[in-house]
Amino acid sequence: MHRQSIRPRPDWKARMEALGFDFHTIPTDEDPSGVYWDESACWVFSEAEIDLLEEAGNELHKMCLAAAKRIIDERLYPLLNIPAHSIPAIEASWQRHQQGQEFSLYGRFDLAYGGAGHGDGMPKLLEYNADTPTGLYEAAVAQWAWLEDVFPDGDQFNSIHEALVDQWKALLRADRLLADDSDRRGEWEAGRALHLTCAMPHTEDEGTLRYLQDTAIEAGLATKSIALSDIGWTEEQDHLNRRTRSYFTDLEEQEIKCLFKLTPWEWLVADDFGGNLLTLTQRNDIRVVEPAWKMLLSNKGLLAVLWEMYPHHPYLVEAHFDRRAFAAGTRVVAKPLLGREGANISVVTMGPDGRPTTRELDVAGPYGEEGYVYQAWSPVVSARGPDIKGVTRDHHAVIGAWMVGDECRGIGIREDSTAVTRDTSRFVPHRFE
Amino acid sequence: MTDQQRKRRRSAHVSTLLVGGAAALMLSGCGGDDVQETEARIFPTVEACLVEFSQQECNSAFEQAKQLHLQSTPRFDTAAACEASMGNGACQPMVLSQPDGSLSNVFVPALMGFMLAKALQPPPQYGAGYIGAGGGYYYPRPIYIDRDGFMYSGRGSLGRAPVSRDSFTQGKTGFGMKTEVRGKSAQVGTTTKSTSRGGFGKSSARFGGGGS
Repeated sequence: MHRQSIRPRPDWKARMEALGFDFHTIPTDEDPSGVYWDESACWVFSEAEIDLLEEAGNELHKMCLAAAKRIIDERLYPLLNIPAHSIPAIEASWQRHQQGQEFSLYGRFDLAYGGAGHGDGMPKLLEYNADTPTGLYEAAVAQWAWLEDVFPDGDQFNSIHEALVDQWKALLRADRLLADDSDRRGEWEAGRALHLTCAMPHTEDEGTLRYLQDTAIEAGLATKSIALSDIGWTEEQDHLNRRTRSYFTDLEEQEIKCLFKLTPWEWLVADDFGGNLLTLTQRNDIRVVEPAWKMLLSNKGLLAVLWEMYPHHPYLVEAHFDRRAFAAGTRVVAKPLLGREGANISVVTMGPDGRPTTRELDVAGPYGEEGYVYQAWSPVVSARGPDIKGVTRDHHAVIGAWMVGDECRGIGIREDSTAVTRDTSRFVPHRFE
Repeated sequence: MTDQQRKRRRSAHVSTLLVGGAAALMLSGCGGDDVQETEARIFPTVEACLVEFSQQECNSAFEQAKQLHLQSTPRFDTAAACEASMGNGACQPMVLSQPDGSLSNVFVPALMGFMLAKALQPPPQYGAGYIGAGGGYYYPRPIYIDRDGFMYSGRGSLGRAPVSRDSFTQGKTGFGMKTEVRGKSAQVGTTTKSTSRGGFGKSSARFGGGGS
């Protein structure tokens, strides 16, 4: 695995925009030019390295399912600081999952991996973005189109798009009322739609949402997108029966029965409608993608549960709920249980008395009230080379391994000039030989 | 491993529906500009019909509704499959004669009543089956109600029943209903709806986008 500097296509912006990729540039204070899609380099893998990453994704996913089961069986919710009112919905959702009746679309493992010569040569799990992963469009479409154009004879670990379409088709088989084509519905059943929502306006999230909507349309689903804050809660009273029925609605008063949300569960349940969502979820009156049980996997407390279940597993990094469990001299990363995009990460070195000695890194952010999990520092691969402006610097790269359903179907790579990947980290394509 | 044996790792095809951005999204949103609203009267029995129409009209409408019901109602292989959709005790057996002369047993939703839908002009598909004159033409349609209280005629949905199924069958008079020919749920006078919005999004506003 190595980083190859290449000349960006002179017309790459126009080509990306022709694909609908409208967030290839994200200006920041640090970099006003705002390069996000960066094709001045690519990462090159061997096929054996790709095989290993695929295997690691599949294996880690199985381990995470086992960890979810354990959290539920042993009611470890307080360790993860899962709010008590969410638990019945999580358990109902998990029950349906166990019966093969719950639908989950996708997830992304963030891995520290650099091939032979980096650490012990094994991919190491940094976190599982199992609820609302992004960077999907970049991985599934942008880097695919780049490869077609720049290395047409090359290969890439990326059948994410095909996998997403197939996964939606599986949902359609289970819920034929979602069919866009009335012939594929029951003969005399009314249709419904897959609703998709995220907080708007938000260029990147809307781009990801739009892409997911595309894949669902391609699979044959009827779809509608709606801004999160436009979702309505409708109470319908039948005066003759003295019955009340309550449900979520879109702006056309159509009931929302199946909702893909690019907003984390923990935020939704904290909102005013959160209790309603939990009630409908528990009663199976709404299908939410990702399902409620994924709250267990997207919580970083999962890392400590995994380490306890599979200590010294080659794909895991030592992790504990209690920082004092680490040996003196260990560099330890504190991660908020519900942190996102590298925010509120801090790094310390443990002293002999179980207390931190030095504080080496402290990323600002809004998270942390919910508690922390601690993970031994595991450096991501880095390579020195020119950036898109020709300035030589270090490029730290995190591998995102994409799961669709229960299968690892591709990777996407984010690079940063600092050791912690953030929301402004660049997306760099990959290929393998 | 040879190239032939090597597993293909890249998508063979990636859609670019995103071209055109948001405009493309609306394609599958709302259809139904050509929805036509129809006034309809719904009767559980001939007796209920008599309040508003003549004996002859009601008898004729009921007979026609029964015939249409046998022709157009969905058929289920088992009573259980039928009841799963329609509700307990809401199905009846029907014997079908096959083209080869054999007979088969199926289950159909029980006829729950009939509807007299007001037609602006006599609908050709029912030939001379319409009734009424002067104030307008009405054509009879069979009605059945599923376990969730939705009304159907043939294979088309008419929207929610104005009352529960039990009170419908016990009704002594008819119910007025606006039905929409193309299936959107009908306005029903006995229910009220209130919708509040803005109950999601506070947390997102605090933290920013939700993707990670």
